[in-house]
Amino acid sequence: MDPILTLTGARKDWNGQTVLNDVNVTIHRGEFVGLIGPNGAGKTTLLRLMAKLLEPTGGAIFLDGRVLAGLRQREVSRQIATVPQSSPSPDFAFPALEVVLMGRYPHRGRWQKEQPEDYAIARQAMADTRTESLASRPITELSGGERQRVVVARALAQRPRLLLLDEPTANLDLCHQLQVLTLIRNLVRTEALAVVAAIHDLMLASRYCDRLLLLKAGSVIADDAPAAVLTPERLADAFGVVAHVEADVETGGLRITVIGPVD
Amino acid sequence: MIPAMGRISVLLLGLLAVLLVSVICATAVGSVFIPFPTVVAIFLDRLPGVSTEGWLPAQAAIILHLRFPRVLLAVLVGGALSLAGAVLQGLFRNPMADPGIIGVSSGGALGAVVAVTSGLALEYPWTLPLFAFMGAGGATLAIYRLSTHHGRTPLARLLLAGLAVGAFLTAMSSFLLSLAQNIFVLREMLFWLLGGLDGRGWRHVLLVSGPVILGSLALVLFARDLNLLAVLGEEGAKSLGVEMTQLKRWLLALTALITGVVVSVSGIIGFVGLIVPHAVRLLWGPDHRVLLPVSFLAGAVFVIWTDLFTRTVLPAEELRLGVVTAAIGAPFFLYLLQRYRLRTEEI
Repeated sequence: MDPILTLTGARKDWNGQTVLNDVNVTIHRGEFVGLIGPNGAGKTTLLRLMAKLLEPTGGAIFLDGRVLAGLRQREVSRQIATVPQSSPSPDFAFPALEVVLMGRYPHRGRWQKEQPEDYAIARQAMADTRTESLASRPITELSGGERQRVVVARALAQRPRLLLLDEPTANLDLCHQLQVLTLIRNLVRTEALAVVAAIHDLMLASRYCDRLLLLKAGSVIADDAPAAVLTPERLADAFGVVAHVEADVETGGLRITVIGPVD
Repeated sequence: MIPAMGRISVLLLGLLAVLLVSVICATAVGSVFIPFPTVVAIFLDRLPGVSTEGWLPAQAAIILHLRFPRVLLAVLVGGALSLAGAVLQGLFRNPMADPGIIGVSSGGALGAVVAVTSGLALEYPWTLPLFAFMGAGGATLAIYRLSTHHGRTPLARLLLAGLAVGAFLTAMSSFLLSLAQNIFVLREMLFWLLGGLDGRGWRHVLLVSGPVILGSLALVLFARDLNLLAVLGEEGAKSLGVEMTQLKRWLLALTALITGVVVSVSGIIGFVGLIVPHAVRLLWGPDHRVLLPVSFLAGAVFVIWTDLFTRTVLPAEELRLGVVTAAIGAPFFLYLLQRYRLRTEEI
């Protein structure tokens, strides 16, 4: 498998506290990696390090073998797209299509206007996320779920090789959760896209991801296939819950029943 | 956007035509009315190789030496303040930003007052716009530092920080002016704190036109970056490859430049940068590639007519331009504040 992004001993300190410690992870082409762990475990910080939105305090991150910190933001943006946890509600009523077109920004020169090709890519991204019908609607008037799908479309329009998503399904209803995750998994299979997604819902994570990274207090305590990561022992250790885990034949994922907190 | 690019050319040409007509009207009207054909004839006569007749030398003097430079200044002041407002609103992701309201203009005025009261401006006229630029720049930086944390600028914080910075700088200006022992001190204070274009002429036009035109053209080049910033926020724009630190540095510096420089000849004229970009957004949408150039032209037209109003409505006592823009702008500001609060709780 082709590695895209490699973290070696990555650490991040924030106000004198270590929020991520000694992270050693490699993300490969065609791989859907889920990032799980309790609140405050460092999932968002890890995603921001991967997108070069934060610089690591220690260790190093490599994009295609080149040191991430040495690359220009624009170069990084041609390879890596980010869908943040929740976009703050905008006050500027841009039509959804314009927002999706913004994904083409890193591919265009400063003086170059959008080409027909950019429109085609943006329209395709909107078709993929089922947001075509929203194209001319102002982003300010969309519901939280619709806006989230437009933001995913914007990230897809970037045509990245690595897609980072922070809780992409948090604002979505059940049907759209499945649609968005299915779409992303199809892109992983067909386009060999690499995906890292922080996902709160462990059952969804086990169902869609090829691999799970379990974070606890800033450290990766497990990095393996979903069934190997989501064991009752690990759930007790990381989340502090007693749970049953069984294979779900229908979905191919795991069925997790939380009994209660660990005494 | 491809059809829209054609649309924006048509829009800009249309506004240029409106601007031209406004310039001619405002030059024709005043204490002595000069018919439009005469005005046009006088202008045409100035073109190389063209000679017209049918006008009196006195009329030419009124137009070319009194009214025309004042109207040109109205174009520069209105254009610069509107553009600065539009840029600040995008930069702070905050639709209530305006160089007058958040104290940038007060910084410019203080710089200008320092240049005037120290006597430097008499000796070296260029120190006037330079000091005003520095004052506006310092104010902008202070307000930015005070109100923005982790790339977010809550509305209340911006307005309160701007209010405090503006009040402090205005107090400093008043203090310096009272120290100057000038018999015209009240008039001077009035001039800087409630701006206007009275008594301004060609030398003021020459002083500010270069920086305003160059600064404005440079700002328009950042339209696409501002689109990303306004919609996606700092981190979102950064994740798409915008070099945020550089972008902010340029936007703050250029906004301070054009605001400071016009304040150094007109004093503080508030609310133009609030009213005009809002009206433009309402009519033609939020895309900064349209908004920025259109705000400049629309702001120019707005200040031409407001200034014409101030010098014609009460012929005996000239009304201050800053008074009129505040009278229109303050209620508009309150209306926006009300509407803004209905949509978000973050105030």
